[in-house]
Amino acid sequence: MPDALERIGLHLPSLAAYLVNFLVLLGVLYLIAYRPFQRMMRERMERVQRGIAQAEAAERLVAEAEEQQERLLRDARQEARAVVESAQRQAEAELAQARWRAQADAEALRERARGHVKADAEAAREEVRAEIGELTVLAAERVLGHALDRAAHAELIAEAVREVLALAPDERTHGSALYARVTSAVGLTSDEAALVAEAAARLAGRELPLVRRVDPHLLGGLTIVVGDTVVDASVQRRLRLLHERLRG
Amino acid sequence: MSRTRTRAFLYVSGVAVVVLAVAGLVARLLASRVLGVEVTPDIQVRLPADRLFTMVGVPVTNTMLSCWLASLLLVAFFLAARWRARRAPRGLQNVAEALLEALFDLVQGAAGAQRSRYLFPIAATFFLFIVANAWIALLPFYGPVVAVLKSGQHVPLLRGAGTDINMSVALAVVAGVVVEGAGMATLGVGYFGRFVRVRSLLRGRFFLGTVELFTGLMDGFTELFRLLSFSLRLFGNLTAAEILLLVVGFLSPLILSVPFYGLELLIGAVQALVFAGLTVALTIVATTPDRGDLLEGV
Repeated sequence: MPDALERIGLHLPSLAAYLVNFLVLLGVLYLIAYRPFQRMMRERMERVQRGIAQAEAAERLVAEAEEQQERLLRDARQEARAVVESAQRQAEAELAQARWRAQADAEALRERARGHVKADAEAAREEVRAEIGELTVLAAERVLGHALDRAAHAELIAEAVREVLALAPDERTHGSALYARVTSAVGLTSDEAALVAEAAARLAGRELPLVRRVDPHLLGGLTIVVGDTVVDASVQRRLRLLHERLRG
Repeated sequence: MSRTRTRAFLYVSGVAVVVLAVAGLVARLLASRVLGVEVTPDIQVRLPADRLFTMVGVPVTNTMLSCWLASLLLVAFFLAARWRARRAPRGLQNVAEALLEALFDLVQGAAGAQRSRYLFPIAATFFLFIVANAWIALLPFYGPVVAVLKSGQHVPLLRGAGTDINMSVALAVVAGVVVEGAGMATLGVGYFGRFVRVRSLLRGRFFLGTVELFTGLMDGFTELFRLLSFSLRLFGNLTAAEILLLVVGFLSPLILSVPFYGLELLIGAVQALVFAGLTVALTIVATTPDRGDLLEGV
């Protein structure tokens, strides 16, 4: 067998030489060819991948920009909606306020009107009352004009005299008066005239001549005027008082 | 490869074939007429390479000289094509890059990125080394240029290294180391489990265990014989190619030998590709874990 191998040329030192030759070639080629080549391939692949990555990044950027745009649009739309809503709300509020103000104005107007009405009613009532007073007095005058009898007249006169007599002494001194004017509803009797003259003398502090006058408008009683002192004991005066009381 | 590249490749190959054939004839004529050397008066086929001289205990043969020449040419080629930082390569760089890229695609396509990191340099060197050694033997000065030995014998100064069994065996040894080494490095001790199958035997299944043990041993033998078949295939093909050329050149000086030069180019490339491809394929097999025994569950 070794002989046969020898014959086809197998020879261990040669084999080893070829082995070394091949390995050296492998090493040298690795250094000058394979390594640079592999590095170049790797770099090329990296470049391609980088390109792809950049493209993807660009795509992502575009997508982000689109998204942002979308978001901005959405925000703007939302904002617009909010603005519209707030405007609506404000409008509603103003409307409500205006309505409220209008209502208040209307209320005030109504109130004022009501006040006017009340005042008018009051005035009317006043008027009515006055009228009633007048009517009453008129009616009373009418009635009294016919119904007062002599006794009542006498009573009224007596009352007037009593009144005069009840006055304080300092109020009675009217030295300057020349006469006493006596006005009565009906003509005085002599007794009554004497009483009245006494009362007038009391007022003036001395005897005074009486100037007598008859005035049916007095309805009843009499008035005595001495200087600037007036004693009014007429029915007319009482009616006036009544009238005033009725008017409130 | 693109169509234009293929066409360019065919064109270049055709020109190369014609030029080689003509130059071979001219060289032979020149040798016989000018130098007065009688080249191969009769066809002699010698399998062992001719020893020219001995250097530090190693006999230097004419095939080894050729091998050195081929190696130097390869190195020179790649030095000339040196990579520069260029995005678009041109000239020799382009050629070298296309060549390496084709080989790289081949290896990576078969073995994947992980394994091609270490497989690519080895497979590419196999291819380049074999193809360079096969093609360099077609140059015209192979044969006509002779050396005169001390014994007075005339032998060719250069002879294709592919015809030396030592080179084929050396390559087969490298391939074997790569394949087994990759298997062991990837699978660890379990790699040997596929050759020593004792699992079923340990489980007490005697018949099945014996069969599996036997198949495992056969696989181991296959692995060993693969080295032999590897080297012998290369050696046989390249030697036969050279002998064929010799015979054809002897029979018909010019016209008939032209197609055979084309055939030689093809054979060199195919053998280189087969050797590199087989190494890659066997490494893939060796580094792929077993899915379990084939007879498991019988």
